[in-house]
Amino acid sequence: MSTVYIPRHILLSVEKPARYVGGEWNSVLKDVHDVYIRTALCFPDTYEIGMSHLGMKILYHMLNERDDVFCERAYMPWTDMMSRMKEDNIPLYTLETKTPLNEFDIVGFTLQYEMCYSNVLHMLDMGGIPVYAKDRKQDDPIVIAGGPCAFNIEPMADFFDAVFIGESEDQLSKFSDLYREYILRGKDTFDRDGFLAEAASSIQGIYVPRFYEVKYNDDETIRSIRAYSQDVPDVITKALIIEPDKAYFPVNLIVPNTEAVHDRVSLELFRGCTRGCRFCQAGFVTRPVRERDPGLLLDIALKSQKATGYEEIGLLSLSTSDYSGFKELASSLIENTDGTNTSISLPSLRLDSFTADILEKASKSRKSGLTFAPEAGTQKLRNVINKNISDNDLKEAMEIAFSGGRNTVKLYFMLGLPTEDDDDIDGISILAHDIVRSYWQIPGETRRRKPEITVSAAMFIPKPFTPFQWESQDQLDELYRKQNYLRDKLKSKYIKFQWHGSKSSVWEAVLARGDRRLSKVIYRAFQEGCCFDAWDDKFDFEAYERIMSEEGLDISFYANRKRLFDEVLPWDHISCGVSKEFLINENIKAHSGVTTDECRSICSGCGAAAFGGGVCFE
Amino acid sequence: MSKYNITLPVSPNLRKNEPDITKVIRFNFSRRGALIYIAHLDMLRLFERALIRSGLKFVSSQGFNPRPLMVFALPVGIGVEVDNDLVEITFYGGPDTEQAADKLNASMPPDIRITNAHYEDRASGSIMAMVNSAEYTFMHKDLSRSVRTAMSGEVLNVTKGSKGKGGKVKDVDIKPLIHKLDFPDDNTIKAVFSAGSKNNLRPDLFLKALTTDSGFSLKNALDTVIIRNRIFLEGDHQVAEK
Repeated sequence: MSTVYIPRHILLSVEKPARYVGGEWNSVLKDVHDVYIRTALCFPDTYEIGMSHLGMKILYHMLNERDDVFCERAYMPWTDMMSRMKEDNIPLYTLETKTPLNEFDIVGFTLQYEMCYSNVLHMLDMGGIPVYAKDRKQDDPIVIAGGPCAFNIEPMADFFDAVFIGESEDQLSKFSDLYREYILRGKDTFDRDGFLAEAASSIQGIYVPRFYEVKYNDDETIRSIRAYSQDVPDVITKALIIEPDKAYFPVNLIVPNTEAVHDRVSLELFRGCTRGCRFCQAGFVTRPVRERDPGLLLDIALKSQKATGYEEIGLLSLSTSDYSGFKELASSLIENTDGTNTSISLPSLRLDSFTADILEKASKSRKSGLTFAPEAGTQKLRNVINKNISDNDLKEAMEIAFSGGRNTVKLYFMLGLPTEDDDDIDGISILAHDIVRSYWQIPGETRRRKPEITVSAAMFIPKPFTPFQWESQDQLDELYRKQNYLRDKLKSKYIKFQWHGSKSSVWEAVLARGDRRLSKVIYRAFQEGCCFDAWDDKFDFEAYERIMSEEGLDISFYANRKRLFDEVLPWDHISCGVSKEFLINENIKAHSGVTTDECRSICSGCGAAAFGGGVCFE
Repeated sequence: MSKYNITLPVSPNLRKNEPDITKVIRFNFSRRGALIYIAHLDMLRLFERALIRSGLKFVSSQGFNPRPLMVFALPVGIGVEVDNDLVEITFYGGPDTEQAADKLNASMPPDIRITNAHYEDRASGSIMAMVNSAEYTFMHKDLSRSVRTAMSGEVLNVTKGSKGKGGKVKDVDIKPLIHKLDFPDDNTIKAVFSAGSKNNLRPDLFLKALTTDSGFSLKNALDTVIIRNRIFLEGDHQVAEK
């Protein structure tokens, strides 16, 4: 057992050393001799981003409630710290006890976005753990992963011993129970493969990639994905918490010592989404909607606020207005924080007169800007993507916002959506100019400032488990053309145009629908020093392009190729509960511009009812 | 329509029930361990959150962005340990000072400890304006020799300002800001520097001055343990002769 010592001169020569020393309020310390299992949870991005993530906090506190587990945390050191650590041979360590990662029993990564993959490899390597799962020996940690990217883990399949599909609370508890059973039989005789096989066969949603064989056709597409043994499932179905009110939820949340991106109490209203926007992976893989009781949520919110000292409570969900207890919860939160400095933040809200009133009362500080996500510029295209928001809805929302004294509005759009033509891009511009005009139509005494309308355009990225999983992404030059086209149309001086890195969208599209052959590309990129790909100024697209071609792989095969419905997709052996037939049907409806109602109006039979709970049985 | 038909509890409005009397408590505190690496703004946030967790009824500023009325005598830099710094916080009513200290301690990470608390009832003025000097301890094995060499010169210049775009760089003589130097043993020096809003010598700047002339490496400077032993306010003590 060893403790890493980080010399003072290193900590004092890097940016924000508070990220590397631990000692946070509500962080957990245990005597390592008192526990059977030492687990390290890793977030493959900076401390500020990792400490904003609720899921990791839930698992951290949940595991530490157990007497037999001590769970610690590690984050990706920023580049300055990373090079200092490498120069001085300092291994990546956990913040609680400064123990190198390779001394843990279980090392878990949460994968929130594809662009963190190269960081995962750096963290393993810096932690002294063999990067490839096949190279790990008896006493190396079991390396696991979870999070949204677990649904298509194939590009990272070679690096993980086990992957947790779905919601991990129960899985991780059972996995820890089983691990304890195994080591109690004797640590020296620990049977790694035997343990992983039993975990995969007895715990829902646990996928061990090396137990499955992938075969390819001559045209590079996949011929088959089969389990080598009958002991593990042919299709791995995600795990989920069907009754969220009974799930573990921590109140004594860890509070960072330096500012995190989201530095507040996060209150998870429900899991899932009833809307079915056809580009949105989260909306499908988290089905069915399962709500939590507003009384319980209020209780959790007030207790967490007291236990953390946070002055902001943020409601968290995929669509806040769809929470059926929203009125009760929002009103009582506001009443209970009245007279204090605590403010309530309400993202993903549909604006009507009630919510406008709530917004007014919720924020204790200056009126902040409002954000809307119409995603597409015309009704025609919004029908294609099943974003059920009309021009009229937007117009009304703007009137409410402007007459309430607000002058800044941010609008999110996507470029490159299936069936999009230049008329749809014109639609974005028309919509933005209409909004500017509507600002000047409100009474003069309300308009104290000039309007500031921001149009933000992201690139469409086809994702697995969505009706658009077969679609092609626009070629890079077409994406540039569309960006320029839109920029030239946005003439008003009150409109600001922002767009996201197109090259990173292309690479994200490759990884999102990638197969196992990409593992060697990610490995080589890591060896060449690629890291922090999610950071535009660090991302090196040219390196990935070059490595792809050197490995005989083609970016457009993954990003720009339209798949046929009968092609075997790299994630076909994984199930999120939504059937492929449903997704095909949704794709066909999209191309005919037909919308699908949200779950509460009418059930469309997506398949998620098989889980036996949530909105399907309301 | 909501499927929930329940009444949720409502807590009483806190501010309306507060008594009008407010009192200022001055706390002495120390900081060590991991928390010496947090910046001054992080310290402010940490104290604010500890105050909220403590349940003590503190007074906030008015305006768009209300903050607790809380004033630190002297900001503390990253890497500096603290024996005995001062912060003044305004409370509603008059909480017992010892209880207030206990409650704050129970709400703080263990690396920060409140060591003393008393009412401060001067008529006006900020504690920041009252600071005139601070005592520091520096520890490093090669330090004493370098300091003796440095102090033997007429002046002790250090380059201030950034060399970046538009940054003005100038040499400043910090010798007049050093009021006292003791050498208890070969590895330790104790010093009293000017501190506060008028003249302030930061301990890391003092160490930087040693790296220019006296053969003390930058690595040594960064590795030198810095402890702020105490802050002197006006009237606390007579500044010693050089």
